[in-house]
Amino acid sequence: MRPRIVGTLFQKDFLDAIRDSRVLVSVFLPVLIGVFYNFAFQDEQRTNVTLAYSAAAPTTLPAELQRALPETFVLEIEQVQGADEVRARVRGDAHVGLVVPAGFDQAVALGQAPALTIITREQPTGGQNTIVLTLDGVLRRMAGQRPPATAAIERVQGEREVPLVAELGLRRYFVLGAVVMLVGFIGLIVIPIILAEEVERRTMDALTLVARTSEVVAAKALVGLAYTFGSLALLLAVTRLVPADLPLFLAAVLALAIGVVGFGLLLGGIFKTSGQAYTWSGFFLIPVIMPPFFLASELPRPIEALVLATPTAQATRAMANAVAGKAIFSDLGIAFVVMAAWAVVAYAVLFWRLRRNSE
Amino acid sequence: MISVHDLRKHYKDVRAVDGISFEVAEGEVFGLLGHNGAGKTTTIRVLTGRALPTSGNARVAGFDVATERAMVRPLINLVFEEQNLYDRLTGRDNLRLFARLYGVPDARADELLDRVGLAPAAKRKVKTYSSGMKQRLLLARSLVNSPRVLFLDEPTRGLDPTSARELRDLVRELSRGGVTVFLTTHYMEEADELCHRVAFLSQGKIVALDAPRELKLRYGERAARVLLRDRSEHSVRLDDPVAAPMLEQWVREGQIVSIHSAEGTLEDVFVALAGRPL
Repeated sequence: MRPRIVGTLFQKDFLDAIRDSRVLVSVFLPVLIGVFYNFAFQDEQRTNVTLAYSAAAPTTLPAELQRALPETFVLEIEQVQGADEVRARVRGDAHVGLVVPAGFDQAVALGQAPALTIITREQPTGGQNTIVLTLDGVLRRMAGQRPPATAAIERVQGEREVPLVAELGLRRYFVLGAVVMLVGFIGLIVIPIILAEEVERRTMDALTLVARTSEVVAAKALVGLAYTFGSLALLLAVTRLVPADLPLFLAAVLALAIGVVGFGLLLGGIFKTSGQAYTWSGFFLIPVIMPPFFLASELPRPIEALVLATPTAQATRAMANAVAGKAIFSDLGIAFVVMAAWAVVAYAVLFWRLRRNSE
Repeated sequence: MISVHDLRKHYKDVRAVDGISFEVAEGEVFGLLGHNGAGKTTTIRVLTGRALPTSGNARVAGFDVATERAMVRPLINLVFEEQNLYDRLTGRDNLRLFARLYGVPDARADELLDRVGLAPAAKRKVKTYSSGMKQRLLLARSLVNSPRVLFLDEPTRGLDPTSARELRDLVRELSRGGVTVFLTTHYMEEADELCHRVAFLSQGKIVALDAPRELKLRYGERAARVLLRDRSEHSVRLDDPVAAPMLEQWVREGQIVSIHSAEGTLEDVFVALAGRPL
C-alpha cells in the first residue's frame, strides 16, 4: 500500500463524490434529520397543559392546582368570561376547562359541596387526566381535610429496564440515533455508489493500471471516514451536543464507521451500476439503523440478543455512556469487541474478493 | 519490446486466447485485428497485467506481465475502448490526477493538453467535451507517464473522420519517437495505414501475421480496374488466362480511358482467412 497513491485517490474521491447529488443528499440528510430531532424533542420531559377557567368571583383553585401538580407539569392558566367561553377554549387549544361558581372557595371550606364543572375533550390526554385526578386532593385541602393516607412513591429499576431515555433525555437519545443513521447512510449508500460508479464507468480499469485495487479501495474507505467525521462535526455543532467523554464517543463512531464502510465496500463490489447501488442499499440500511431505536425498550430475550449482536446497537451503548458521562450501560469492552468482530468479517471478505478478482 | 509465447487465457470453457505467439519490436506499430470476441481485448488485458494468463508467458519491456506486474505498470499505458474519464472533473484535473498517481509533475498535464489541442478546454468539465475531445484527452492521459509501450484498444471507434485522422497522426508521431504501439481496431484501412505489421486473430488464435502489404499480396486478388470509352467499367483478374487477349484487344481498339491496379485490401485478406468480413 503506497500512501502517495492512496492520498491522491482520496483527494480525488473526496472532492469528486460530493458533486454527485445522490452522495450529497445521503451525506446531509441524516444531519438534517438530527437537527430536526434536536428541535422536536427536549431532554427534560415536561408536559405543557393549558387550563381555561371562568370564575364568577375570585378563587384560589387554579393556583392551588398548579401548586399540587408535579414539577414536570407546566400549567398555563387562562381566565375567560363564562362557561361558553371555557367550552370554546377547550374546543380550541386548552386541555381542561373549569367553571367555578361564585363563593366557591368559601363553600368548599364550609363543606357545602358546591358544584364545579370540569370540561375536557372527548379524547383525554395524559396531562388532562393528571389534572382531573389532582383536583380531588386540591379540593380536599381547600376543604381543610387531611388526605386519607400519605402515599410515597419509591422507584426501583427493573432487572432488564434500560434507563437510556431517562438518563439522556429524548433529544440527545434521538440525536444519537441520527449519528448512527449518518454512519449508515455514508457507509452503505455513499461508499457503494462511488465504488460502483468507478466500475460502471470503467475508470477503475484506468486506475488499476497504476494503482493496486487495494489502494483504490483503501482511498474510498478513507473517504467514508472523512465524510462521516465531517458531517458528525456539523451535526454536533448544530445540535450543540457535547459528549461528556469525547474520546470514548469518537472511538465508538470510528469503530462503527470502519465496519460499516467495510460492508459498504463489499456492497459496492456486488452492484454493477451506481444506480443499482443507490436503489438497493436502502434495504441493507434498515437493519443497520434500526437497532439503536430498540435499545431503550424491554425486548423478548432472543430479539434483545439479536439487537445486541449488531455493531450499531453496541456503538449506541458506547456513545450513550460517552454523552451522559456515566455508565448507563456496563461492559463497554463487549461493545468494542462486537464492533471489531464485524469490521474484521467485512474486511476479510473484502480482501478475499479482491484477491480472487485479481487472479 | 513485447514478446508473447503460446499465451492462453481461458474463462471456464471459453478459450478467449488460445495459444498465440508473436514479437513486437521497439517503435513498431503492431495491429491486432479480429471480430468481436476474437480475443483482442483479452490479449490486451493480459499484456497490461490486468488479467493473469492461464498458461504461456508474455513479457513487456523485458518483464513478465504475470509475475512482474509492478515493474511493467510504469512502462506501459492504455487507451481504453470506453471513454473512461471522470466527467465531473475538468480535463486538466483528469490529467493531473493521473500525473500525481504516476508521480510526475502537474506541468506534464498542461504540456499534454497542449499537445493534443485541448489547452483551451482544459478548465471545462469533461462532460461538456465532444466524443473527439474525450478521445484526445484519453490519448493525453495515456501519455502522462511517457510509456515505452502504448496499447490502443479501438482508439478511433465512434470518431468523426477529422478526429480519427488527428489521432492517427499522433500515433505515427509517437512511433517515430520510439514508442511501441499495440493497436486493436475494427477499421482495416486504419490498420493498413498505421501498422508496420498486423496479426489476424480468429477464435483466440492468430491466423496470419505479417506486414499489411505482404498479406495483401499473399491473400489478395491481383486485378485491374479498366474504364472504357463507352463508360463501362471492368474488373480484370490478372491471373485469368482470358484477361490478356481481352486487354490486348481493348488497347488495339483504343477503347481504354483508364486502367488502375486493384490490389486486395486487408478486409479481403481477413475474409479469405476468417470466412466473413469484420
